[in-house]
Amino acid sequence: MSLSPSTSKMLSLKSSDGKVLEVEEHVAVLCETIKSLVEDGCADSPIPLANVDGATLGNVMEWCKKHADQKASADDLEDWDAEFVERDQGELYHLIMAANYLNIKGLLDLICQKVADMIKGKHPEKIREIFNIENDFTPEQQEQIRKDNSWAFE
Amino acid sequence: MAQGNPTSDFINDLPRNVLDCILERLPICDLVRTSILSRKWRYHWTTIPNLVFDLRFFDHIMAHDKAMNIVNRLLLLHSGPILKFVLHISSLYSENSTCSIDIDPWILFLSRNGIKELTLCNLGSISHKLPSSIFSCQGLTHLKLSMGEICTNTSIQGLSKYH
Repeated sequence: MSLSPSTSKMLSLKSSDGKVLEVEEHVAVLCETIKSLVEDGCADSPIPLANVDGATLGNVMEWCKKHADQKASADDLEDWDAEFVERDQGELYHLIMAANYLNIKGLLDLICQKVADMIKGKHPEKIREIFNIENDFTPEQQEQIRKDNSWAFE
Repeated sequence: MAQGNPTSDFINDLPRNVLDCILERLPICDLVRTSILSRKWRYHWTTIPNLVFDLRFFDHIMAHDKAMNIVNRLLLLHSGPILKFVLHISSLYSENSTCSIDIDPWILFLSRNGIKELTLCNLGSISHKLPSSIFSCQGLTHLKLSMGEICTNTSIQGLSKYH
């Protein structure tokens, strides 16, 4: 099956809130979930994406479009990606869930790296604050955990 | 997926595979520190299939015996498959160390836990022989090995084909 840009047809994608997005097939197939539908010949009608809202779908397809562009250099993509992930946590959450559902490894890796960078080198209290994690340990338990792996807390 | 207002506690709602994908990207020190975040997090790190003891780790620990004890301990605490294991020993140790450590048991342990990517760099600083247990790692697809400091261009891809 040829999925090159010159022969690419348009696919309709329908978001959970009923928005329909027309996307070139060679862009949309960066989503493995959609690629499987196309390959199985099940992509004729608007493809319903029950787990992705319209705004997120727009963002995801913007990423796919950039990464489907064969003229984009690796450096260009890296810079572009760095800007793409500069978002608030709400948007990152929706993007990470959509990338997981649509099975877009490159986008999932990108956002997971962004979240890992938000954790790296930070004090546990700061991480709890950023991600709203409730500390349900007693002070004694906390002390024990620190003692068990004291090297990591030094 | 939930609609509406941006959430500030999204990390608590992520599916397990996505959370793993995030934790795999943390240096070992940050990874182990997640154990103190909450009860839910306490043992999550022990199931992450990548254990990377790189130069940053060895520089952080400084003392040779202590670093080796930590590797030992983390291997014992780990649960489930270990697919990637990196041991990149700091060259500082080779200058100061007089003891030789037999890492055969570690490699044997890894071979029984599904190891696919194995990196052992600057091995000569802790051991004078190549661990023979490497040959028991049947599922190995990537092997990086060096006795001295240089640890590049030694990747053997598709190693399993040669077993």
